[in-house]
Amino acid sequence: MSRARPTRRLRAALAVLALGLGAGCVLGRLYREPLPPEAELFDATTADGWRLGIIRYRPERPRGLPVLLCHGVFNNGRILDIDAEHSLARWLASRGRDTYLLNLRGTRYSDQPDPQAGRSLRYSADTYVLQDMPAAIEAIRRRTGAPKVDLVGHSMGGHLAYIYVAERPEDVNAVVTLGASAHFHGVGKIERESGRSIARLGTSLGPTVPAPEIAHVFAPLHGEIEGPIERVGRNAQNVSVTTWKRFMATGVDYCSRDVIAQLDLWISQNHMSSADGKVDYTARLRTVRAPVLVIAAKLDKIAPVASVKAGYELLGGPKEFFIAGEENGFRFDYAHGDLVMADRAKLEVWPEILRFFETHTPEGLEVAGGGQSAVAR
Amino acid sequence: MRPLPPTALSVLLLASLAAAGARAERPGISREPLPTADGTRATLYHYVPEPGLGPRPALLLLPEVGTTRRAYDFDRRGLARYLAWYGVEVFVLEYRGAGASDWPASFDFETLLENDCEAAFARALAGRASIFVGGWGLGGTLAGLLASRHSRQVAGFIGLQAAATLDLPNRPMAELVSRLERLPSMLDLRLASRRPLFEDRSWFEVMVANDEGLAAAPLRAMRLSLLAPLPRALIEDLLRFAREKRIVVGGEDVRESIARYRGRSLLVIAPRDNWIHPEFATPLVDSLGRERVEVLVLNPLEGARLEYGHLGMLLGSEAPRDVWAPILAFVKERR
Repeated sequence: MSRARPTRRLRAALAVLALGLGAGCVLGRLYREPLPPEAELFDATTADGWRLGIIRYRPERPRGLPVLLCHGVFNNGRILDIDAEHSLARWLASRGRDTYLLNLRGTRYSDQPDPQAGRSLRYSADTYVLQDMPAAIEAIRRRTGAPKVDLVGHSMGGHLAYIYVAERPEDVNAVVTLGASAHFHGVGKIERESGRSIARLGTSLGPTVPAPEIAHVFAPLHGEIEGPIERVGRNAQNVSVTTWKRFMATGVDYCSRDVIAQLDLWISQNHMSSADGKVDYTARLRTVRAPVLVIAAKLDKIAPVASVKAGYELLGGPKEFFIAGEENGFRFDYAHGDLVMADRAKLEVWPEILRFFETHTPEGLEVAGGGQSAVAR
Repeated sequence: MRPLPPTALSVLLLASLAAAGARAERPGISREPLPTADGTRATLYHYVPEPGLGPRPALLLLPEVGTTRRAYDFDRRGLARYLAWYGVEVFVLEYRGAGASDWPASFDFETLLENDCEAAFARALAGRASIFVGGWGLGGTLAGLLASRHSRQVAGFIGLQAAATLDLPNRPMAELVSRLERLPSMLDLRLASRRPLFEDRSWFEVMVANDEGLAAAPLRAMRLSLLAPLPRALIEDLLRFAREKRIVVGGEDVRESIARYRGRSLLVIAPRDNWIHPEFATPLVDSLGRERVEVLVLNPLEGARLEYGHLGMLLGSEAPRDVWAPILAFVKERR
């Protein structure tokens, strides 16, 4: 009898999880936002044979260089394009910028790992920089003829932007990072321990972290209660429950264990490096000469202001640092996700991005965003 | 048993009310002029706990530069009274140019350290082997410098958003600095900070009193009683610190000076602070030694009830639980 109880409990727990997952999948679909008709989805193929889904928003009257947006870990490009009102991509396109959303390998619009087809389960942030970003930029070049792109990265996408512009400055005109830290040692107890704990948990779940399934299990609760994910990810004054649910249903995505392991390494050694630890990417920020706008969110607990500013201090070229918060006239202080999904981001944050790019577009580099049509998939 | 007559009941009631009133008056608070080395008088407030509460650690608290002692005792509520209530003997310095202290025409940051802070430390230490020192914002910087200078007489250092560096952290501050050529010889922060900054919110509300814990607070009364005039020489010091991104006192970066203190430390960090930004305070964690220092980060993820800003960490509605109690535990902990 004493053995039967745990079995029953286990069954009950599994049943609850299954029910939650089922209900979450249904509810998640209710909140999932389809791509709008004006979005063009096309492929970029990497040197190692992966197809990456690139979403393009073409402006009516193009001006300036094309802009490539890069998402962070456990996300896909749709975090930067949740719906019509919460889309940095569509907002930039409406201001004349030919805008491209990169979906890194393994995420919803791109190829999934498949060892039998030669697509390894083993890829890291290095792979994103060495394979995915060059492929995306090359695809944009072919479509537009632009010699360079302007680059925006949110969260880990900001890390990738930092690393990329240091590695291949010839591809990039100017960079904006949103909530991307260059040092990783928080001072609080939870800050110090949670990053590595989450990383360890992530790497224990298998070669790919099933973030969408985890998000689905809790779908009915997203935004309804101020759980730890909400506290870390958003300020409820800026991001509505509906937007948060849409993000969870649309923008959360898979991630390779090796990417998480590399982030864990960064946290443990307090700087960005290659996956094998041999190349110090944070130190290379000193070599960056491209203009960089660094935006930190006042209430960011993933990339606290101090950690973000540490990266800004290292940069070697023209640079600006800006805190998204009440002290700069914002209605509310921003959290990590707010930078790309706050109701007022289009009034408070994104104009800063556009202003920066416009200030730093050299004459003669502007390319109208014409070129061939994308092939819908 | 005969019931008490109404008169006796009234007397008993009055007596109990008087006793309760007397209890509310505790601890005893006294104010004494504090002569300093250059002859200017600062003021020291002394909060004396009731006798009989066991060993009484002593703590010297230094206010933020440009403020009075009211951050520690506003409207009969504050960290100083709280600690004294629980048996800590508290000294609160009121710098020159504030409250009942002398108001000289000019003074700078180093003058505050060499004169006011040193005098307060000597007075608080009198008759004791050691005391705790603590301070808020740049007052925390001064407290850290005292701790490094007198480390053998300092039982512990408490930095409440104690600044290790400064910078011009936002556009309003950068704009303000660009207009400071027209700065008067004395800037009255009480008046200057009431000016609207964004829509209907004043400088005081945006930069200092910005957190939820002060939502129901009497901000006007706080501004008037808390802030003090700042002389041009002191403001120029602060601007120099911000431009150079380091606080230099006596020719040395305070991060290096404070790093010499090897005793116990508690650093309280308020992530929502718009005045002394968290990135100005967190470098002290490394200066003092990450493994040795106790750090209290005031955000909900770390266990606080609210996101704290500069003033909220001392006078916010939840400060007694989130800030005062951990400070009491730090001071009371026997090592």
